[in-house]
Formats: sequence, C-alpha cells, structure tokens
Amino acid sequence: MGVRGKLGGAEREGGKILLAGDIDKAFVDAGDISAENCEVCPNILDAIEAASKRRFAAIGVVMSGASGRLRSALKALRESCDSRIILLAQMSEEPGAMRLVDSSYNGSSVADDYLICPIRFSALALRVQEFGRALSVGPSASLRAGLPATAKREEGVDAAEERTRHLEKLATEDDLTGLKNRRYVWEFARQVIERAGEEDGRVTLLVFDVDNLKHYNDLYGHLAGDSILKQAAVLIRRCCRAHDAVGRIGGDEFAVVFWDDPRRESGGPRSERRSARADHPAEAIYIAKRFVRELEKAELNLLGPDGKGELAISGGLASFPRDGSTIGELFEKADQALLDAKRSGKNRIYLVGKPQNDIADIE
Amino acid sequence: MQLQAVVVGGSSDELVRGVMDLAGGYGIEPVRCEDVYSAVGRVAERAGARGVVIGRLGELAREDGRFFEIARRNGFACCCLVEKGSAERRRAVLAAMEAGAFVVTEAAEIVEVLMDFSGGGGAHTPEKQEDPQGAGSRARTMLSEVMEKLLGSGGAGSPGNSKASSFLKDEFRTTKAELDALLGD
Repeated sequence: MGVRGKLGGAEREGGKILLAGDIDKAFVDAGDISAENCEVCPNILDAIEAASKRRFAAIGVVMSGASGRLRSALKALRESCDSRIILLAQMSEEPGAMRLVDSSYNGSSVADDYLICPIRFSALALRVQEFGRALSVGPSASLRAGLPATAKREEGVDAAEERTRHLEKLATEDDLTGLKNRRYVWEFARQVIERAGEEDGRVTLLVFDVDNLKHYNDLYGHLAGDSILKQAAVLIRRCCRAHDAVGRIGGDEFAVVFWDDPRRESGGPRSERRSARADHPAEAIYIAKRFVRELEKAELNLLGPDGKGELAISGGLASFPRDGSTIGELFEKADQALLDAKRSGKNRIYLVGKPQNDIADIE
Repeated sequence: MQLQAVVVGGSSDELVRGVMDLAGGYGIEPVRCEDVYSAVGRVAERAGARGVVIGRLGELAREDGRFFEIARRNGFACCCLVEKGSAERRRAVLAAMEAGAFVVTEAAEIVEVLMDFSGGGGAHTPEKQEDPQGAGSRARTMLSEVMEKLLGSGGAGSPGNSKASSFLKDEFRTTKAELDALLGD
C-alpha cells in the first residue's frame, strides 16, 4: 500500500496524539484526557482508519486487551501513516513490547518505542514532544554542518531515544548488577497479581539474600562484596525465564517474580503443573532449585577454585493467592520465610507456612 | 474510476487466489490484502471509490466485527464467506448483516456477487440499496439462505420465502431475535 508521508488532501491533525485501545488500562488520568490533545479509538481497526486519513503527532497503542494479531495491526498502522508508534505496555508486557520495537518490517520496526504503564497522559505527551524537538532541530543545524537534512534528523531522533532510554534505565535498573530495581519489581508484582486475580493465575515471589556477605565485605573489602552480588545476579538471571522479573531490592537482597505469561501458556494459566505438597507453581520451585544447584557449582570469583561451593543464599517463597492477596502481604511472608531459613542455618529456601518446607525436600 | 475488489487473505488461500483470478474477468481490479488490518488501510485510502471487500468471515470479523462498519462508511460493500462448522459464527454473522454485508455460504456464490457488482456499477453499496430487482435484492436473498442454513428448516421465521426478493427490516429483527434464542449468547 505504502502511503507513508502522502496523505494527499487528507485532514491534518499534526499536533494530536491518536490513542488505540482501552486507555483506562494505560493512563492513571484517562478520564481527564482532553479531545483537544488526542483522538481515542477503542478498536484498533478504527485507529488504522483514522491514521490513514489524518496525520497525528504520534500513535499510542495500548497493548493490554489487544488481540493476538497486534503485530499485524501495527504493520497496517505503519503502512497507513508516517507517525511514530509508541506501545503502551504493562510491565508484564515489556518483553513483548521490546520484541515488537526490535522486530523489523520494511526496513523499520513495527513500533518505535514503548512506555511502561500506568502513566499520566502528560508522560506520553512529553515523550512525543521530545521526538518532535529532535526532528525540528534537524534541517537548519544540518545545513550548517553540511550534512543531508535526513541524516541530521535521524541523528536527532537517535540522540533523543538514547537519552530517554538512559533515563528509563536509571529509573528502573540497579546500576551495580543490571537487574531491575526495587521500585520496578514492586510495581511489576503489583500488576501481575492484579492480572492473576482476574484470570485465576498464579504469582510466586522469591526473596533471597547472599549468605555471609558481611563476612566477605569485612575480609576482602566492598569491591569483593560487589563482585559477589554481581555473580549472584548473573546466576539468578540465567536460571529464570525471560518473562520473570528479577531484581536487586536492597543491599544483598534480591527478588524474583514468577508468573504465568499467557503468551507462553498453550492451555491457559490453569494448565500449569503445581506441587501437590505445597500448592506452589512447580515451575517456580524448579527454577529456585536449579538456582541453588548453580550456586553450588559456582566458584567465587575472588577466591578462585577454592571458592567453589562457597556462594550460598537463603530465601523465602510466597505465592498468590495462597499466601497473600497483595504484593505487600507476599513480600512480608516471603521475608519471614527468608528469616526462618537464616535462623535454621542458612543456605536454604523455605516455602511460607508451618511446619517449614525446605524446597530441597520437595520432589 | 475502475471497480476494485479488495480480497482479504493469505496468498496461499484457494479462495483468495480464485477470487483474484475471477475479478479481472468482470472488469474489476483485484487487490489482495493479507489481513483485515491492512484491508482497513486500503478501504480508508480509497474511501468513496467503488469497491467490494471479499474474504472469509473468520478474518473479516476480527476485532469484534468492526471492519464491516468501517467498510460501509467508506463506501465499500463487503462479501464474506461463512465457513461451515464454524462454532463462533453467530456474532460475526450478525455483525456482518447489521452492517449490510453480503454473507454467502458457498464460494461459488461470490461469483454472483462479482457479477452483480460489475453489472450494477457498485449501486448496491450498503447505503444505496434502492434497486429491489438488482444486486441488492439478490444479496438479500443470499442472506435469507444463509439464515436458513444456519438455523435449519423452521428457523428464521421464513423458511418458505428464503428466495424472497425482499428482506425487510422487521424480518431481520425477528431473525436476529430468533437467532439469539436458538444459538444462545
């Protein structure tokens, strides 16, 4: 079809943002969004039609509730207009959003960027403005530099994207380990618990810390301690599934949010196997046990071969809805199980509940 | 402007290939769209042109059957093939019917639509159904047959006049209510 940049006599609404999908799922202030600033199309097909006929500063596509044909819809949007496409994703949808932004279609990606929701509408407007500014500085500056205008425009956009990505990284990641930070893990868990409540799904929270870190810090210095934390981070990330959220939430404390990703479940959330003994998702326990095995095999970098088997953790596992119905309750229960594991001699992961269940004892 | 048939579906779909081949023979320019999403872009781009969209109901009815209304307001007629044994067809058929789409149960019936379309000069787009003996009436006849096939004999309240040349609004309402009652929500 290829109508990029050629809207003919079509109506121009260059300053407006087109929003596609259920905006209540994306914006905390959805009720206050003014028609002066944007046009809302709850159905993606209406959005494609609107984008074909009118020009928008950008198009925000709400991922939640979108059908499995989102990629096809985005391709059609891309074909219909030259506006920037920004995905509005829940944290749990971030892997999918990243794939769409990274995927190639006719020489560009099917989406330009994504924002983690819920957000205020002004956050989206700001993002759109940033890209607008990057584009507007292009021509005159490029003439001075003797560069083609298009090259300068792309350079401006790239710089704005780079700056935005950097700020996002600072806001959501732990700079020491590269894992997510406490704020991200908390919000992620809150969102997937809310979703699990609606869809009869399961969420399991693992909280753990590195045993004897203070001892290593005191003996070898804090740089050595940092090295241990990094090593633990690499191992836990390697053991978890791509859609699980893994973060460092305190000094030596880590958390993992295991959840049922509907895109990976052929038979739906109810289909996941569960441990009959503990009623925890079997997969979360399996991953936690694998993590423990990896720790046992690992050599502590600072000790070399002598450090084999020295790296150990203590942890607690709590599941929604069995152990709590809110993220606060789950963290509290998992933390208590972690403390019990410490008091029982460390180097173990306990499930919430009495008598204590060490996951090592679960078949 | 030349009549255009927007054929929706994959290039390996026999229905799509067949309609693409047929359309040229009736002086209609065939354009293939991979799915309903790209078809929206196409009809919006060609709004006001004389055209018909042809595809399988399962594809055209995606996203709550919204496409039928979008095609209608852009001046495109719709013709969709209901596949036998499709369990989820009730809502989709209703959405198509409410937007004035032609619903057929045999691929061969699409030929009639193409013939009518080329002969009637596109006069049977949903807003222009004033020709009772032309393409519109035949399409409505097809709708009656579809209802009969969906509901079986005794259904739809009109088994005896399935070939009737008119399909009044009241009859449609009755049919819809009966369809709801028979097939459930």
